[in-house]
Amino acid sequence: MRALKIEKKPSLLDNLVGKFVKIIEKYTCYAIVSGYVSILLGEERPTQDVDIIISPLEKNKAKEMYGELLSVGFEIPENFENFFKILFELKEKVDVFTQEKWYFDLKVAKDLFDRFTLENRIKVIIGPIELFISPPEIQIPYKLYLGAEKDIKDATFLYHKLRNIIDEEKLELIAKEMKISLEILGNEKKKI
Amino acid sequence: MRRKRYEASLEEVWKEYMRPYVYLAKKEPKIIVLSNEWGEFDFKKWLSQVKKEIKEILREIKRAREPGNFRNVFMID
Repeated sequence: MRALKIEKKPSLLDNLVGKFVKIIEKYTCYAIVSGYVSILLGEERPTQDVDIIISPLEKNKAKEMYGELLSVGFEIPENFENFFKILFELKEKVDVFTQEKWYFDLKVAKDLFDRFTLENRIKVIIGPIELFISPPEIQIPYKLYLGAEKDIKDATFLYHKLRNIIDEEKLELIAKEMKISLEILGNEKKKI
Repeated sequence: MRRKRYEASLEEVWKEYMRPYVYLAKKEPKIIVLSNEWGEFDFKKWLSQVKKEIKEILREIKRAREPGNFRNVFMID
């Protein structure tokens, strides 16, 4: 498994994410995706939500996880039946709120991209916290496909921050399938 | 003659908007690579499956960003 250590003091958000995923990982495999990954690695930009992909769960395990999240102070607007139905049956995002200003978007893995993300997640150690993040080989083309300005900036930042671990061949093959050009990343190989 | 923003070349876009993010990426925090070993994931097999399903996957990614992404939640059984 790929593993990184970040040399910085965990922020308030990092601590909050660490507290949340410590519970999630007791029950299922997860990977943090989207904007928070860039923030964790040093990009300075605001965010209010942290997107997390998880593996499917049996109903009894999901109920235990739901109960534990509530017991430590996280807030979930839906009752358990709705939580389970939305997340695992309809496969839509479910929000889990913190008492601070952030919330988590939980999403169950449902396609091949999610499978790649979970099976190739990267361990990140920051102080006493251990997290798992999405691999850049899929996160970067995914962000470029989304195409908003913040997504493109995130993709560029991630590419250059994690360049020494990125498998360029896999990145290019995935981008090719998504019909995404990597030129915007400023890859010198492409000679833009 | 002034050029409109959308007439800028990719190189101009890159210089104007993306270069600061390369600079930021080189700043702190320092990232130490503890391991860069991939697991036993069969990338070739996975990619061949992706080739078959890519249209549906991309449609789903797009749908997730559209206002209609709540429609399933409010469906009546």
